[in-house]
Amino acid sequence: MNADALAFATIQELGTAIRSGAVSPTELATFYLERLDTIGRSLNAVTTLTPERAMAAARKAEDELTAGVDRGPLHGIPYGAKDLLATVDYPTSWGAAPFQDQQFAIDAAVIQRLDEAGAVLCAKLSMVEIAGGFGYQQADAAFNGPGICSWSRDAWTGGSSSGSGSAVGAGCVPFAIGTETWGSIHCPSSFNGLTGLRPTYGTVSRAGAMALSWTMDKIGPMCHTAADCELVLAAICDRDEWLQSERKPGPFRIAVLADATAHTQAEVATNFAASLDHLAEFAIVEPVALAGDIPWNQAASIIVAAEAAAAFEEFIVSGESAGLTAPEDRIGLHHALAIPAVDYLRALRIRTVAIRELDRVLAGYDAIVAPTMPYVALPLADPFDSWTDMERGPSLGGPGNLCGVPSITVMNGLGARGLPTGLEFMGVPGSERMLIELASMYQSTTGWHRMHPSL
Amino acid sequence: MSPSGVERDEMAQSNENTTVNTTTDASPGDVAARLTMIEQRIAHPLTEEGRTLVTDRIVRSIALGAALHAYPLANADEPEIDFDPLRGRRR
Repeated sequence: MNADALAFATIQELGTAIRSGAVSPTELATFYLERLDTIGRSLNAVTTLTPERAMAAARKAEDELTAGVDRGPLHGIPYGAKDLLATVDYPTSWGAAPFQDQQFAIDAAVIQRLDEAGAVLCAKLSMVEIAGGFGYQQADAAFNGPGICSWSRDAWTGGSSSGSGSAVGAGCVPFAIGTETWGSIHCPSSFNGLTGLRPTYGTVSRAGAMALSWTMDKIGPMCHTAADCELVLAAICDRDEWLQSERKPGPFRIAVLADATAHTQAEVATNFAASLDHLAEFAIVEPVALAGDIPWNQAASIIVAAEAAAAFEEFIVSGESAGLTAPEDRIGLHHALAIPAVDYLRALRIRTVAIRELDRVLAGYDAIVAPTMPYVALPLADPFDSWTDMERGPSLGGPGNLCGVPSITVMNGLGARGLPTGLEFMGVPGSERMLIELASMYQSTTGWHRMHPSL
Repeated sequence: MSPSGVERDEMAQSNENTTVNTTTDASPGDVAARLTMIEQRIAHPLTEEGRTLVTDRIVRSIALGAALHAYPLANADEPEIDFDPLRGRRR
């Protein structure tokens, strides 16, 4: 395997290479640490390299394989973790200057799970400060600089799992762990041409992860393929009984979110239409609309703001938030200190109605699809407000995150400025395996996931 | 949070069928009351620029609340709260 093939190999391919003796876990760790230190740092994807931990884990993985101990598909596979997951031996910055030297006494549960699976942590990856919860309006909203897209030095990598997106996109790690409150796995996955899986709320333990919104935070994998997402999810999920959903016999049925491309970039709409044609080759594809009178996004906004202000109350009240990088973040959640409890509870009550509506819409379908993002990776210097016209159309992000349902995004073409576009499949709670199956079928016959940037 | 998840004026209006008017939904009295509450609570003075930004976000927040209150709910519509009185003992 040459260096380029190795950099962009899937977890499955690397596992085969390890077991055939073509490459060893220590060689893999050395290879990816070098790429993280050079390419990864140039993209601002790396907050902290973890070479001591990585080499110790890789040597252990190698010794175990020699002794006939095989921990499964992730044994000896390097990865990176968003820097809001606690690690006992390195700082955990939450992407924010005031926390950059923060130390924890334990590893996050998801890190422990990956350790047990034999995976090799190579880096803590950069992120938007406080996971974007303070209302950032620009790419430069992290203490170590704006995340740069793996496909273009002039484009933002997306957020808030910025480094997870660009590191996997640039072949600096074969997979990464990201988190999503509202779009933070899907946005950087879409911008970097990746496959990102947002599991059902509660599927993956959040112990040791920074809390932004207790009822909306989720942890999930960002990989090159849907099949790789399944391997990582199997290692980190807490509730695998949720993932055993069986499909009814008969053709796949896929709902299409009505008017989903009404305001998107033209190339996003073109690629989405092509994707629907492709899906129609193996599924019944029908347009559906979500109830337009439910304030999906407004309910999600109030929940996130109120919970984030509560989670960071001392940080806000003390004035420490003035140490954040983006000026708008420094007092970005002050307003949320005064959100009435009645408004927050009303948002929670509307969530109950919204869950019922989503169940009604998804009944009889294996998934609903829409463009993951209305645009490709934004130009690095553009304030986000200059792109809001394209966010006015219906999307799955607000409803899906409000209701805690799973979703997977895959690359479905190249759009403006030659950058990747994304296709999202969203399903009912616990339907991760169905979504992975659909995404895998799409990937097995399209090949977009095999494209990667020239670096 | 991705850009499309971050609370903004435009996002408050992003569901085309549930348009929120951020200029008329917030009464000046409500905005001033919330700003006073915040300033009394925080341990640092707001600059004029800071006060303007906080005020803008209060206005948006009020508009979001108005959108929620415009949606009809019945007395029986309960929030999804996973309250478990035994949880403390199990920890």
